[in-house]
Amino acid sequence: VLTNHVTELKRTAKDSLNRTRVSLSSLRALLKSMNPLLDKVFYDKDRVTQITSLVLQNIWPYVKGRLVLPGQIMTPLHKEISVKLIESWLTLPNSIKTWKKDVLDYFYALNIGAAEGSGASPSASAQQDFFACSVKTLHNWMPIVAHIMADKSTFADLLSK
Amino acid sequence: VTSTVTYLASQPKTQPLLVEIVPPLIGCMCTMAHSYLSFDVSPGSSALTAWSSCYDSLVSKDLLMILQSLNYVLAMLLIPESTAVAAASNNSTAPVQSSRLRSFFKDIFQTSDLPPEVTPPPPPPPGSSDIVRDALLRELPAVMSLLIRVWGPPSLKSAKSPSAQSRRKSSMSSPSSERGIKLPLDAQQDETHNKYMLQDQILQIVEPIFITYPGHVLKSLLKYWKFTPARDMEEGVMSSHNTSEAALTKKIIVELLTTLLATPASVDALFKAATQLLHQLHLITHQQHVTATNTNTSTAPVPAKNVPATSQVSGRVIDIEDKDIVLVDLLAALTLNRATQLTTLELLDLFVPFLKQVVYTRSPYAFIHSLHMLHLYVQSCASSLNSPKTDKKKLKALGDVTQKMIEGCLYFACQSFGALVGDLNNEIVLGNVLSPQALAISVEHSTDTLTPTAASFVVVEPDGKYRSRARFFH
Repeated sequence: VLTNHVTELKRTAKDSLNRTRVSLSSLRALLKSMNPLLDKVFYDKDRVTQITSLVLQNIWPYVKGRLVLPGQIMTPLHKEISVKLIESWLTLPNSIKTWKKDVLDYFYALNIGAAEGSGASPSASAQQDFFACSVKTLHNWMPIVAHIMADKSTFADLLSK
Repeated sequence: VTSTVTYLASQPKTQPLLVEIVPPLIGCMCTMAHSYLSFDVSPGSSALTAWSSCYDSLVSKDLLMILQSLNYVLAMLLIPESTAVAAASNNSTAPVQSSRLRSFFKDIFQTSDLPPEVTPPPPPPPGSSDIVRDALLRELPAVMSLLIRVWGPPSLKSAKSPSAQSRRKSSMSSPSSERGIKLPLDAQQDETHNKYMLQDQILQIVEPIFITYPGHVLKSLLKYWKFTPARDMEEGVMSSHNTSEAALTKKIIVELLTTLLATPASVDALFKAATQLLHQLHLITHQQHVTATNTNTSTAPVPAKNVPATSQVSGRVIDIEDKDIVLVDLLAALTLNRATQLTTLELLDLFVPFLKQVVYTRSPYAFIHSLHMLHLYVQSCASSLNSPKTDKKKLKALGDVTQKMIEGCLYFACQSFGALVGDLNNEIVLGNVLSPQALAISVEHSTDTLTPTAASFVVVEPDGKYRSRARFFH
């Protein structure tokens, strides 16, 4: 029974490793090729928005770094590449509206909102989520946040918060 | 060999013997040639030195004689007359080149002991049946193995030496009068020239077969192509640091195919064959899936519409089953190698139909490599894609398939949080699986088709939250 259990654990571990490797390779492929393809193949900009929206929806768990269910795997690289992918969309002006709100909500709700100490604020562990990442990931966040804050009203909103 | 085969083919009474005699003869010739090339190519061995020793005058001469005999037999029994005539008209300068090469060899060897002049093979005998052709095509993997070995590693060429493809292009474009043989100055140049001579002979063998039976050539090459998942495509095949036998073989195959693809007809043949092979593979997978499902549910099998019976399909491609990733990997390496030669016509007419087949694959790396290939194509053809002359329908097809490739990669990118669900054979599922609602629907309706190796999977609820639904183990 023990041997079977160990074999099963090994198989599960190997499967997890393979899935992690595949998912990282796929994310890298998207990071490398998606943006130039969206830029040069699609003249219908609504379609670009639709695709970026779909991608954002699916990589968002990586960006938030909150996979807590059994069997789920995430490495710091997942988050780093996902944020880098969003950063790459800065060159696609039409797509910005698809991710701006999500990023801003994530930035406000988990940090500044919590700092006010209101009853509706997220938990203490959630407060650190936005900055709980590698330095490289933070560097990837910088141009994204800077781009959002370039809008005067958004920056004024930030200051007021 | 050539006299025997010619005699057998010329007599109606002896023609039935061809099927029994010719395949073993080809096998013998391959074994003989391999005896010159049986050295270790594993990492750390002095493979490159051993290889270069195969291009000395005496060994080259023997190898050339064997290759000429092979060419004679294969051309006579495999190539239809029309193709042979077309190939001859395309290479109308070949006899001139051949005679010059012979005079060049005489200069090098300084001996009269040269391979005999091989006269052009006669047209295929009227009685050469499909049985002989099929028997010879079964020997094609062994022949290709020999040709790969004789072709030699691309690393042997010096920086000053032109690549096989550039030599070929110049020989095709420049008038025959301008193509002189340069006499070698030292031993190393001797080897280089001998290698080129052998490579030219290999091209003479492979090209007509490739044009006539591209699928068979491709399948034969796939047997020797080992897929190794790499982080990036560039790190895989083309890495110059990798000197293992598998990596060397891959480099040789890429160079050989790149050289063959000098003409648009060859490119057309390659992509059509690749698309067809992938289609056949997916039909087999689909059939197996249907059979498995029917067995599980204990219901009578219902044949799918427009899908041939498994036996018919598997009879044709059983030897390349589960090789879809290998095929895509080979094409990806080839695309990377000829990145500067990609054209809009090739992209829209040949590559897009191929990608439409890739959509049905189960392999994540097929999607990853396809996306990379698509990127290379679009990068090369960006200016002409903007042209108003480009067919809008084809552009729309390109857009559709691009979206599917992105969705496919996204699907596999999300595996690590458990989204490995659904039946990838179903284009409709794959096309929609990534939107949260559609993913939830596909999970609800396809739990019996989940991959058995998935440890767990997650359903995206309509409110956008991810919920764990099941665990599956072997």
